Amino acid sequence: MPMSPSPTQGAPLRQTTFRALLDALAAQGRAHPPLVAVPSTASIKDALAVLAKHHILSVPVVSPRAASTSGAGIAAAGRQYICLLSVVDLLGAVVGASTAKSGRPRTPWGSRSPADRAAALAQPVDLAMPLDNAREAYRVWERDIDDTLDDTLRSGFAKAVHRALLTSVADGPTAPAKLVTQSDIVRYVIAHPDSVTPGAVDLDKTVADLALGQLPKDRTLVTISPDVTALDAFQTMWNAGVQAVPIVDADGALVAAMSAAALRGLTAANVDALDLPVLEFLKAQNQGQLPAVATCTPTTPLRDVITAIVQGALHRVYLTTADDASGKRKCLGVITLTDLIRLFVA
Amino acid sequence: MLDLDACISRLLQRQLLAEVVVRDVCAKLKEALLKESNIQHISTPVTVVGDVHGQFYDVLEIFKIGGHCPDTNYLFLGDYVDRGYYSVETISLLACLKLRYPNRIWLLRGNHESRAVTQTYGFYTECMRKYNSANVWRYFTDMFDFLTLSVVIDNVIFCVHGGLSPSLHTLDQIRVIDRFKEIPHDGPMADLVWSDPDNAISDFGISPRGAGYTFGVNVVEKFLYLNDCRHILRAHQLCMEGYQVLFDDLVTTVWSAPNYCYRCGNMASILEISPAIDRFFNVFGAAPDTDRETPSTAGGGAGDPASTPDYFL
Repeated sequence: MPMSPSPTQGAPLRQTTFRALLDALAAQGRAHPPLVAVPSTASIKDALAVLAKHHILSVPVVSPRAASTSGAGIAAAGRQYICLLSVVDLLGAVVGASTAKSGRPRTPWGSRSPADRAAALAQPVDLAMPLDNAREAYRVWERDIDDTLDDTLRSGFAKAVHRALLTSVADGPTAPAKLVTQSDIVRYVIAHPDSVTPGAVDLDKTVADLALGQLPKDRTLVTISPDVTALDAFQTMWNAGVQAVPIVDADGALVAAMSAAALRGLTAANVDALDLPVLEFLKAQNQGQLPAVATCTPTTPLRDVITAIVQGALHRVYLTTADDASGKRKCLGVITLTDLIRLFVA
Repeated sequence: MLDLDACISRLLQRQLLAEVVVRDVCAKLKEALLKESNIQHISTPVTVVGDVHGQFYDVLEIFKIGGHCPDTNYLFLGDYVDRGYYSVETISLLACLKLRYPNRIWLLRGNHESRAVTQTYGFYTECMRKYNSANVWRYFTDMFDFLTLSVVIDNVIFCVHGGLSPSLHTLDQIRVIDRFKEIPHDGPMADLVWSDPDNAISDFGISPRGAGYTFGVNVVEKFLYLNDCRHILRAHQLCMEGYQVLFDDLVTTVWSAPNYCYRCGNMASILEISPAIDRFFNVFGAAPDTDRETPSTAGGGAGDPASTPDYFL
């Protein structure tokens, strides 16, 4: 397997190849395990079980016709990759509220009997493949492993594409496909800070200096109250097209957060846990403890934000005010991996 | 001798044409389409229809609400086949209507009017299942090579299936393309049927589809200015509301397949353009289930309209 010829230190991020990125991460001890996949004939229940078992947020769907020449999807090592479905896509296909304006609308999940719920989960996974081109899973972001990161960063990761599938012409048709995620970019940047434009991305600048976590004027932060069920929280995420939603009390103080990661352990066996109040649900998924939410304040330096994200394997940090007298923090916004990558390529 | 009226009445009752009839229709249609330029100039009043993707009952719905051909002039923006259960009936009907009323209905080529795409997204499979041979698929895909690429309505509205190309600045450049072939993987002809507008950019960008480009407002303004047009009308992208108006009313997407793939729950629309170039979006939902027959042996599924084949794009 050819190694990248030049050292990665000093190469600008945009001109770094995927191969160099993955090699650097492997050197840091952060190599990805081989990709698992589910055939498109598998059920949604099976796909959720795969996510829970491997502790991953998304899974590629492959064609059951292994090496077809004119099949749909991206060919790599004898498989045809059709789609990358996240836990949100899978649940949304069965649990998500029907947004049907036309055709037969779906019965709300909350009013379905256990038998109906089991039947819904037994449907094939290709039902979760969105046909709405606004959804990320509509198409696979695919690049060759020897391409540079440039357009993937600017047109993909900076625009809320979370993961990219890598194939290789140079390594031949038996080379397995690889996945690169936004998290990988951030891990690389914190280890090679000179890969991002110095001056534009000063890691010692604060969140406020860089205007991170601030929403544009025409958008408001999507939040939910602690009184709703996990199902309602999920519906909010599904309808807004977001991967997580902060739970804020009546005063706007951040209590907890519901995210795709919290849904990761859901399988057919425990999907009824969604009927619980959202805080109970989060405790149940976390051994009885409400999971702490990573936060930062406007005066936090960028370096600390990125370090927290990399060390905690997080996907976002909530921007809050400093603790007030009662130890509460008001939720002001959210800094996501997309926001960080947008900063890196600005 | 081909009796087109008889063919049309058969098709309106969702009966298939015999293979030899399909062969003759396609052969004659190719001769007629040969005379069309890559840019056909047509006049209002005309009703513009976006992607229909083999949703035959919804095409019947379109004729019900928009008026039947030839009483209403129609422009279809492409993507007649794939995904729906009745691609064969849909394209057969439109081909016969075009042959019967060549100046009342206009058919553009979409990215699905291609051999490669139809082999993957259902049309080829459907032809094999309904005719037990690949001949009908061959007749239709050979005919697709002759479909025109764009239309200009009243010299001001440029209509194409996908969008613009960085290689094509003027209408004259479009006129000289050799379109009588399979859609290439790249180049101006591919761009016209694959590109998408993008609010977030101002020039051309990389398309996540892997073919064509994304294009922004600067590109649109320049194209319209250079070619003395006022608006771009296209299809190619699902719109939940049936249509979408972009770039401060310079580009419109029309989508005419309601409840796309029988599960998206979206509305659809047809755009009625009057002689004064007034635009009316006639929005409609899926034909009621009582008016629709689901196939007893859908490919792969058990006839359940909610089950879909294992492909997408």
